Amino acid sequence: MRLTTRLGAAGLAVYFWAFVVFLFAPLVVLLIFSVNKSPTPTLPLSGFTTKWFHEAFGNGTLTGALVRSIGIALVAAVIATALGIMASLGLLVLRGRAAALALTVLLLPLVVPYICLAVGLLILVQEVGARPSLAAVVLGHSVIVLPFAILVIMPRLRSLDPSMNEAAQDLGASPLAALRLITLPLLAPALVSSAIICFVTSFDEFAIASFLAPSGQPTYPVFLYASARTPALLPEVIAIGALIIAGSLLLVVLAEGGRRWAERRLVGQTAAAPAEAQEAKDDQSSGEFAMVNG
Amino acid sequence: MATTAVSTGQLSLVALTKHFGSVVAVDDINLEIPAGGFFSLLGPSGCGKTTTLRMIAGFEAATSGQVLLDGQDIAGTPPSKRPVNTVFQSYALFPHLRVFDNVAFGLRRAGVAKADVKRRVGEVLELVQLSSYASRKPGLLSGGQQQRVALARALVLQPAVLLLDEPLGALDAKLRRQLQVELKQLQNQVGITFVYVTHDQEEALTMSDRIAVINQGKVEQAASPQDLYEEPANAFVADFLGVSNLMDATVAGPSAGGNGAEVRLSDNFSVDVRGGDVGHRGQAKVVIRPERIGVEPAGSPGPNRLPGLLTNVVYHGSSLQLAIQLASGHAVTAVVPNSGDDTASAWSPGTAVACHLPPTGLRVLPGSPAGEQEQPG
Repeated sequence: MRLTTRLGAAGLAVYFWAFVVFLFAPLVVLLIFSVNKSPTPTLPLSGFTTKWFHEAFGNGTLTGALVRSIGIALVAAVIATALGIMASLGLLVLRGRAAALALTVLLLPLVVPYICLAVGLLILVQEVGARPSLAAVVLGHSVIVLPFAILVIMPRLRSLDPSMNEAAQDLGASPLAALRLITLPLLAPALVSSAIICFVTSFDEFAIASFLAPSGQPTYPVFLYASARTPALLPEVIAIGALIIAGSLLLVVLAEGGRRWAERRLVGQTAAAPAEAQEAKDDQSSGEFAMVNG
Repeated sequence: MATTAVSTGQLSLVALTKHFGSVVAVDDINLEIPAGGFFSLLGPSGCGKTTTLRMIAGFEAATSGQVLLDGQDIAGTPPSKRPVNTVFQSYALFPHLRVFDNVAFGLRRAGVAKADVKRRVGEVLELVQLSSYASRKPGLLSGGQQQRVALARALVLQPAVLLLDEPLGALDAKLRRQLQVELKQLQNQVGITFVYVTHDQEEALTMSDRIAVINQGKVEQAASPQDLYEEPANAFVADFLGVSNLMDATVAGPSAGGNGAEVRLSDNFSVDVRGGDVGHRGQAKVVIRPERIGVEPAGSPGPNRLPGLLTNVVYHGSSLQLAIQLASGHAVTAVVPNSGDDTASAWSPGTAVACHLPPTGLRVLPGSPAGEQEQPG
């Protein structure tokens, strides 16, 4: 019995570490070779250099694609998050079958292969007489990241006490003012998460961008794919890859920190709180009890 | 506020009806709610009392009927424009705003000058004894304090009518009783019409000037607490307010004295009844409160007395609650003071007693044939 438990635990540990290595080894490899002197990513390592970073930033095509992708991802994230707020508010009002149907339609981009959407969008863009453009990419990306925005915002919205909005209106706020002054500030942590997830998803997207981006204006993933056939570019691509990993880590850390800060602000546990919290506890012990804020 | 200055806070609900799909939540309610009083809507959960309140606040549109505030139909006025404010059951405090900003919210929406906001919020926080908590977030307050913030936030706008939706429901019993008294005092102090929704009959009896008992979307009876308790209009009211002994009986005719009715509790036992619908004839329910039943040693002589058998004795400290099986077949509950004498201490299950049902304690309930009364849902 004991032996099997131990074997099981050991097995789990092996599985866990194998998983971690599998997950992070590619990233570590990327980081290591981004500062390796040799222009080909092969062992043994041939010394430290920051040359590839300088070269990457000196490459106008590369930085152009990078800036393009960041811009598209920013706009798509803002559009999708705004639409996500509206969709979530609408879904909150719907009941039963109508709600299920609306949600299914809104989440459909999750299960439609991006390549199909890309072809469809390309045909649509040409049918309405437009040309492939960065605006079309933004449009396409807004569509595919909208489900993520809804999936992040809706649960938060559902967790809010609906009578808070009613209370705001009862106290003289128009429905719009109630949204602005009460609902949106309380949604803030979810809005930040939504924007980040949308940004990263759009930044990473290849199929739609490759169909809809005008020739000569590739997004970063499209540029990467094309330059994979140019071995001379590989060290620069690796260097940018390493930077993106570092940037993503920073973003995640900042986002989590920001979310916690926002949550603390919501319940009022500011820096000056410990003494106050203690008093509140004292109040409880004298017969009252604190309400948990939903 | 300019809009509230002319209001005196007299509400009339005229044929107010609300359907949710095929469900009739509020069914043709007619009520006069006098200005400056403490009015309670009392009923079991799901009876339509909260829906009624929400129609007064403007959160639900009536299917038909009117809500008149000082004679004006306010149906078309959105909640934000009604001189009516609400204290929500969940308090609905804004967790991201400090207590001060929660209370100031309505004043700022109304465009009140900054200095006046500060003064009025300060005054109302003093009124609810929360001045020292102004800069805290609601999440750090206890339940009772949050309840008072919700109250201050609504009162600061000096509404014509204050609506309270089970505002004490989330608090423990001891604190609830304390706040009942405070709330009643506060209402006297500010003189605003309070419309109070509760399912707690004791709470309604303690605080209200007037109570409407609501069941299945209809008003069963609207009267003062005393009238509701002493003169319930029907079996539902009698049963919902306090403990009642409801007995199926037959009203045979006028009593020997002439000013009451002779009521047959069974083939062998008749009593003289003075209260209620004594002109009724035939099947009816007769009601008596437990504290009105006199419990005497078996064989005690006199009219309106029935032999009975004690089936259970519950010791309540200051009183004894006795379950008695009457010879007429009815099971009743009697509450007698714990006098400490020998008779009382000798009572135990199985003891034969005589029950005195005084004619003035008995009431014939009109229009309540046996078996029609529904359970509160």
